[in-house]
Amino acid sequence: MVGGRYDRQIRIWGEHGQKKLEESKVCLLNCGPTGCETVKNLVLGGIASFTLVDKDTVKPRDLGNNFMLSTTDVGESRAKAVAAHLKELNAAVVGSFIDEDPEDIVTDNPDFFHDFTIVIATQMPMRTLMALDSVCRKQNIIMIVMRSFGFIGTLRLCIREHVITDTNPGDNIHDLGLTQPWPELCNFVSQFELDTLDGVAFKGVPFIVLLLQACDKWRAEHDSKLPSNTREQAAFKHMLSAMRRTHDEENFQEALNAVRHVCKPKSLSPTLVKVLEELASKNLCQSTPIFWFKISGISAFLAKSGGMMPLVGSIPDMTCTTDCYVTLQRIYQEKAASDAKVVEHYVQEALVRAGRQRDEITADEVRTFCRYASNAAFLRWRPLALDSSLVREDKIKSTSQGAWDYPLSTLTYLVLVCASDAFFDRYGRLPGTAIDAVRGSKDDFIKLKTIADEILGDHNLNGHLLDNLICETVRGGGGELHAVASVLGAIGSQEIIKLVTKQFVPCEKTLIYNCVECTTMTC
Amino acid sequence: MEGPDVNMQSIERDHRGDIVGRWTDLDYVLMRDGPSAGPGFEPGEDTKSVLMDVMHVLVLGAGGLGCELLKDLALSGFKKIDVIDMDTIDLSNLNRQFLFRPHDIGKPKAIIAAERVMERVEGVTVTPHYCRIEDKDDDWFQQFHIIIMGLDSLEARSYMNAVACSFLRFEADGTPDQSTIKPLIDGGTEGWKGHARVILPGVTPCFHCTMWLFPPQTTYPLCTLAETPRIAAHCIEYAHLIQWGNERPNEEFDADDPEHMKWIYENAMRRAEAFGIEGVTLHHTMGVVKNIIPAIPSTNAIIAGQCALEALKMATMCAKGMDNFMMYNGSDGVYTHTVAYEKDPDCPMCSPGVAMELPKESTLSDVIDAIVKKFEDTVALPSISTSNGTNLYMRGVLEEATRDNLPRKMSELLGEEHGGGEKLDGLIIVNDKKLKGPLRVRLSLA
Repeated sequence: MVGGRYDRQIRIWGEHGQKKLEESKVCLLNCGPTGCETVKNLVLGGIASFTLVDKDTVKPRDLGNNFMLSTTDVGESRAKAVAAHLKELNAAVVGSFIDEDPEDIVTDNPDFFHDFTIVIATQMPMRTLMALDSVCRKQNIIMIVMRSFGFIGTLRLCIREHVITDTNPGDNIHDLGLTQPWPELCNFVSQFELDTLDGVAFKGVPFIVLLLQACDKWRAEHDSKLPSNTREQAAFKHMLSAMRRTHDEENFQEALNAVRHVCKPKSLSPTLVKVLEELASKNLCQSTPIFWFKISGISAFLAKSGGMMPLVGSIPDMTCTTDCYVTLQRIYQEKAASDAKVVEHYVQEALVRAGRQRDEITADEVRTFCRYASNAAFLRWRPLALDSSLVREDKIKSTSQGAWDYPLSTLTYLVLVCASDAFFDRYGRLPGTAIDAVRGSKDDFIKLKTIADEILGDHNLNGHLLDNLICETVRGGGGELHAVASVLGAIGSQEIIKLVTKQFVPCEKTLIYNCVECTTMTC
Repeated sequence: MEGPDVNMQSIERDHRGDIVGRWTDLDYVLMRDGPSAGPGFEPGEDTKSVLMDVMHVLVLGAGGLGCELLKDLALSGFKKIDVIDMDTIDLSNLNRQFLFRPHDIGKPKAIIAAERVMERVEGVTVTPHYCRIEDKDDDWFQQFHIIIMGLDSLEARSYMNAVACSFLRFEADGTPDQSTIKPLIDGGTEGWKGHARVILPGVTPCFHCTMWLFPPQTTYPLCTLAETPRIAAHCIEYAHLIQWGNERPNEEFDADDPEHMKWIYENAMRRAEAFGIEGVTLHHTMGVVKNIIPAIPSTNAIIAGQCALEALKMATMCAKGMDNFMMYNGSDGVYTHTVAYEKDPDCPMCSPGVAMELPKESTLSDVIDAIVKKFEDTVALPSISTSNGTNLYMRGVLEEATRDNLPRKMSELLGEEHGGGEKLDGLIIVNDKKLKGPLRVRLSLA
């Protein structure tokens, strides 16, 4: 609905993205501020439902960092109280809660998670998360892990496989197909006899025409080749400039700015290259998701076109008359439609080869897919279990020898998270939460450092950084500052929206947010 | 995972009337020192008391950022918060402005936001101001220790920046007088992108120093709209900017009136059909006419959270502050970039004075001409005084009394105060109706 509740976000991810969001069922484990803020943002966005799992009652401490709780809630079930406040935010969202320990559910009732699209695990120890990860992986459920402590927040997505299918066309740089102009475009271009035009008409020639006529001229003088290196491009620009009559023709300026379009075809995005590589290793069969058939259509198209993607069909605004523009747009749209037809044919062939129905996919779907295909991507997240082995001695050794391309500083954070978990296992509380806060924090520093040193063995990462981080971790006492939780939770909800809409690129590694330095880094 | 279980059957209160144990998480970083602490941080009750009993902060805007800011500040321990917003609540706000409900539509944002935060967070006082920021006297802003901007317009940011810079005084050596620095924290978002920044006028770049960070808005030449429309937006802007005035000359266009919007849409549609242009929809029409900025809840929360943290750091020094600009982009992975931008040494808002060199023989009249020429966008009819307040040339009632100074040599006018010499430097203060706050000009006559 125009101007409706979701108007401002539909302008970003479209009605089709909104529909996917409205089908999402979210499960939150632990109702601390990080998790509550994540779900708050998703409820506002219009998910289908949320289910909260938490074993605690509301404590005074919650009133200092969680906006989804109030003084009158103290002593109540935390999941129940938060659910009530979250429901106020959007009547269209269904909310429920369970007063159980999330860790028990992971261990005793893993089938519980099968109903959800997304599981958000906050403030949980690594061993439970690893178990949850394998549960979610089996069902290809989106799992997101977040933890905030003091000034630091960490976020990690755990998904078996994810494809990005329809990145917003607004993000596309126009591919004008000028390295291989097709007959209809060539006809249009040759209608313009620049020398015969009067001043006004000359300034109204679309830049695409100027570029292609200059190309013809260049080819005639250069062995039918296009300008390739920087020197030739400069010469080409010089030639183009020489065609000017004055220096204020905007169409020429547009042509000069677009010279790259004729010099070399737009190269395939690295993400699409990865998708095509993945396709090569796949045997398309009855159970293969339809995405891969669409990609096989693109792949066959690329083989035939010499590496040119199917044309998107949109053109940028340019200085020219209305008639010229409308005609050009029609030429581009017709070419895009005929390219899509070719892709459709290849997709159908692939479907038949796999013993499936030719009409399993519609012409419209293929056309839409062609528009977005240049940004298609395929992502995998390594299991959490591998993260923790990353910080075991042998891996750190290979890291310091350069086998892993992670900066040591970011690895230091991972060591710290593991050390905190080990501290909790050993002492039954988080570092920095001893009763005697000041003296206790000195003891805890030594304890946490000892554990970190045990994890590290002989290998020293960045001693100074690690000491500082240990010190700040003890200082923060594993506490969740509301504003840190709010930032981290918001990043989490953004990642979830990207995954659900399949339109934008999610974070592929562990994200560390440091609110002192105002930075995020990944490892 | 939690800390030690504190089983509270009844609620205990401390000397502040606050619930005991409520600020456990915040206390960890306020009561203990650490390597991330800012300069001069003193862990303990006194610092906590500054935050909770002394600090008085102002939030500009109760929209997407404003709602988040109020929540974040209240839960960061700030107890005295004022908020200004001139808008009323619209249905399309509800996807992110989480303090508002459908039955609030049409009510003032500032008032509802203040009520909701106070209902939820015990002990905080949020005072709403349902007005424009320009409605407040400059002096009114002096009472706040920190001003946090959750605004959506360049004009409002510029205005607040100018007010804050106008408080700034300098020592004789050109360094800012610390007691006159009014800190600003600014947030902004658009879609997946956003920025947060800290402005300490005189110390870090002010809004005006880095104006170039903001790209110009899209506008279309009128001749394109009238003669060669090509895309849907051209047809929409034609109906909006040209056709409305011609066909409904006695009515002011109101973008919030559905009938007006429908009229624009239908006329844009007719024009598009006549020219064979595709893509005019009501959705697009509203986007173009209202210059709608796409917005999602999470980006506002990210930026507001960081802004609130900067306020907490500034008030307590529990951690080092941002230096001085952070940009965020979430559309492709999660990307942040924090940069220490440089001040513009000639900034007319926050520098000790813009340098201007003129011939030694220049008269006051020459100086005025040169100033108008140099600052043609912001100065038209300036009044000039010396840095210690002597009027050299004034507009209005004092014009007649100061008119005689116009043909006098500037060196003479300044010389009376500076003692003359071969080369003469002097600071003059320029005021103009178009300027918000005085402009400092460091004259050099040689």
